[in-house]
Amino acid sequence: MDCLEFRRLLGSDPRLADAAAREHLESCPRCQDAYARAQAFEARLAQAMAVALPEGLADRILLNQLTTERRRRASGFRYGWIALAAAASLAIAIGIVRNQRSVGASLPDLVVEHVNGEERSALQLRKPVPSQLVERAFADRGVRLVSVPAGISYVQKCPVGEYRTVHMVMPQGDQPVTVMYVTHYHAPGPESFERGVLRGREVPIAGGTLVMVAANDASFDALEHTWRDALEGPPQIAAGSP
Amino acid sequence: MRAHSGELYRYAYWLCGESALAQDLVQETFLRAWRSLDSLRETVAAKAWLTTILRREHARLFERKPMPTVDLVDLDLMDTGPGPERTGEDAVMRAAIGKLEPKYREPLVLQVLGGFSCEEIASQLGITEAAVMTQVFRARQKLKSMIEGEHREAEIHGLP
Repeated sequence: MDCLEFRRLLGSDPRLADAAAREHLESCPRCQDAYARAQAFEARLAQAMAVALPEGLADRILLNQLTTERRRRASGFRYGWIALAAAASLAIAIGIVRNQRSVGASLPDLVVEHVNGEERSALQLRKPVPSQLVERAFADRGVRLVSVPAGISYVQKCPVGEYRTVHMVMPQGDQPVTVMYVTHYHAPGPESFERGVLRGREVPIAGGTLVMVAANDASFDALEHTWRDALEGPPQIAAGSP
Repeated sequence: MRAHSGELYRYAYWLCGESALAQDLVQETFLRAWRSLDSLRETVAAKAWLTTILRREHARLFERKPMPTVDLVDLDLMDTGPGPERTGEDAVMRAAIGKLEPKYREPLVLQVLGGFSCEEIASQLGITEAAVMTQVFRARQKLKSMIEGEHREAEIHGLP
């Protein structure tokens, strides 16, 4: 191998998988310099390509997979043994004890069960997710947001019982608040509820229903107002005023 | 899953140039992988298998609707470096990577980030190994040329 061929290979595969190229490298001082420069460039290239990973990426993926798997299992889909083993590993990885879904349960029951079961770890997320993720989740559910409220740390399209929802977490001070927008279901009217230590409220907004769940209801009024604006627009826009 | 999610996210990021979309792509990749887990015969091949699924999902999205025509150069490319000097160098390099045409950028990302051989990249992209070698060679030449251009401009303006 000559120097020209070596340099060509070096530019194509700086790790030098080619044995002849490695042999040439040992015997050619000029190519050794070129090799050193190439390795420095590769290190810089790899460093630049390694963009920061979004916080909680793996957790969100695991949660989404678990939710989807549960829905599929509920629909009677038959899994191979590998999938079942993977599902078990997944559940263990997240540390979740899964509850059987109550048949015929009310929307508040299903939401609280969902929050306590599958998605509990989502409550620990604090960093806001990009607004595009929120817009996309709603758009996928057929809902166009007028605006995206700030401070959403978790967003996921979740089936809750037979309801299709966009499930979010919005930390309010030290307290996480689960906010779930149920599309294509319009509750008869606003209603507060309590389930164990949790307080909740369901409110019909636009074509769906907003459900909020938290340890206390201190922030529910403000969140309801925020989401009414996000889903229907501010009052003057909703009323068609200039 | 955890072992591959980071690599896949970065690959997706350099494919589409958008963090939110890259996250969606990774999410969808794992869901699709999950559904066809039986087709994975060897765990050592998992990375290549997942990468292929992600590429297909990205292509599917392109077919379904136009992707945002964001120039990668204009993006707020996230910094990971420990200090301003390192950050500055990374930003210059990232801007240069963003300027590469996809046909050069994709095999380069697969090689540098994914650690795939030219033969493996050729198999994933459905092109010849010789074509991969040419593309990654040219990709590096273009990057060096762009970065040297940046340095020359800095010298003209009396910058360090």
